Amino acid sequence: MAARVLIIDAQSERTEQLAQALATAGFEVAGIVAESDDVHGAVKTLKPDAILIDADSPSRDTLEGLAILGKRFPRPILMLSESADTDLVRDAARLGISTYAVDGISPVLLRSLVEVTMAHFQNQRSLASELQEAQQALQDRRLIDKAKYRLVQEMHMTEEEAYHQLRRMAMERGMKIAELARLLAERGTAGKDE
Amino acid sequence: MNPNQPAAAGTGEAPEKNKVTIGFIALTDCASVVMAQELGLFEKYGLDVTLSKQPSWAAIRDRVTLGELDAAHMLYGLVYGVHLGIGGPRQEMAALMGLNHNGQAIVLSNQLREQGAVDGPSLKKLLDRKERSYTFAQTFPTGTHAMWLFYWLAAAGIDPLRDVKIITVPPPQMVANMRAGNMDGYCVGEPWGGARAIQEGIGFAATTTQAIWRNHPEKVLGTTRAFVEKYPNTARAMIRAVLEASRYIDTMTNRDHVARVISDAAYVDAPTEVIAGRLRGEYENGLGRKWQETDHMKFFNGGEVNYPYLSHGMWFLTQQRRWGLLGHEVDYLAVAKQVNQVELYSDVARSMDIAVPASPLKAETLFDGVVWDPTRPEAYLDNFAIKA
Repeated sequence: MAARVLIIDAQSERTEQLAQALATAGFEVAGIVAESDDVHGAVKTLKPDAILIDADSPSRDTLEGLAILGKRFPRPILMLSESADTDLVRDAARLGISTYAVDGISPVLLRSLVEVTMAHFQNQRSLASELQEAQQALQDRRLIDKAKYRLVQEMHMTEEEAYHQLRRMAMERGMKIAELARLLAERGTAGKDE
Repeated sequence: MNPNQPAAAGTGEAPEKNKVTIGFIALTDCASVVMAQELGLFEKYGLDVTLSKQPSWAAIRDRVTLGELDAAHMLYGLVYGVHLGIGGPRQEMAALMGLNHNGQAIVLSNQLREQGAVDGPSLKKLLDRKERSYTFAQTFPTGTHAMWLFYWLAAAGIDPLRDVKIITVPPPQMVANMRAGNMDGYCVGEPWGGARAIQEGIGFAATTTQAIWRNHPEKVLGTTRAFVEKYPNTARAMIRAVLEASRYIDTMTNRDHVARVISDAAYVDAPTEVIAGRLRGEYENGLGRKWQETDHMKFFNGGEVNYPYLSHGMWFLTQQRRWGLLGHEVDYLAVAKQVNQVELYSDVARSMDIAVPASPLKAETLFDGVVWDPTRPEAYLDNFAIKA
């Protein structure tokens, strides 16, 4: 029988994708609730084998309150087994994931649950950082173009001359061209070397 | 000891680890940890401290256990819960010092008041009519609020495990849950206690916790035993800085300043006046009674707050045993000796001319007249009619 997993998370898009990833890996997603929902009631009704929750959710303490009620409720997992794997859980915690599981769940299954969740989060994080990098690059290019254009206008340089001028100024100051361009934009004048 | 050694002003004991991260929860009783930072006292004793606000007690436990936090503002009972592995991971823990006494409250809904329940005995009468089920909330299963709530209910003849439903709710969500009708009462610390509930018009303070146990232990500065063994001087420096901050806070003329500092969004994130009033001892219960509280939240009280009495740790153990959280018999005194760092604390306190009691065991009497005699913990437990 597939392990039944409850996800407690407020970010709906991220959560739905995680639910899909878990289903693909053979887990049954028992439910998804936001932390503003009745977490206590959801756990009692849905009786999950494991719970995934944002490590920074205040509702974790509600899960702790359930964990002491007995073996039928998932308990916080800080280590996957007696011997090792603390690092895996620690890495998961760094990614913002906390796992709760009932005593009976097999360590192999639990490890797989944590790994699938982590892979999903890492993937999302790298997607997010790729997007951020792309946006930064775009913004940098706009700034450089603007600075170049002003040199062309104000100093009557060719585009190539303007670019070389910017690069030279940046090198002299030990800055990236984009940083210099931002500085020039803030100062409001391209100007010559002071 | 060389009192002039610059590494850690006046101590002669340079911290083995000077970069330290200390966790706290947004509650008024995090004040001494925050003020030690804001007054530059950690720095004065050679520590470079980062304060890290935590979203839950579970997060504090995990991060202290995994070493991401070096120490934290912790519920007294939580430190023992982790030490014994109750309901979660087990890790040998250390309580460096007490952080505060008093300042929590048990709040009941206005709906209960309308039905005649204003204190323990009248609540018992209402519950005996068995018109419906009643739900009460606390903040962490092994924590102090759970123990105050359970003790108070049981003293009125209400069995917290059989007569009512108990849930765990994060402090900032208490008011909303009560308004939504999810619960009938709760025990929590300021600023989420009486002041807030009365202000929001949802309930009243049936009792303060200092009325349950005058000058009761509440939060401690907790860390792992491994940390203390590896970095004893760092632990001493933390104690020293927090002790000095505690003394500052208990100078009543400093309390408005303290309230202003800790009300900041980075710390408690609540209106200054809500924090300040209670810190000044201005109390009201929402039933028309206003008074100047002399047993308000205390942080120092001549060191009485901070000395890690073994009998305090033992008391929490007896209650955890009483309510079935701790499923087996333990040597109460031996466990308390493992956890409470009496020697480490006493060394620091003496060097600061702060009084240290002659005995780490203190008999105390709670509001029901029952005497807690730490030399006879088993007899104390046997004495309770209501238990798991």
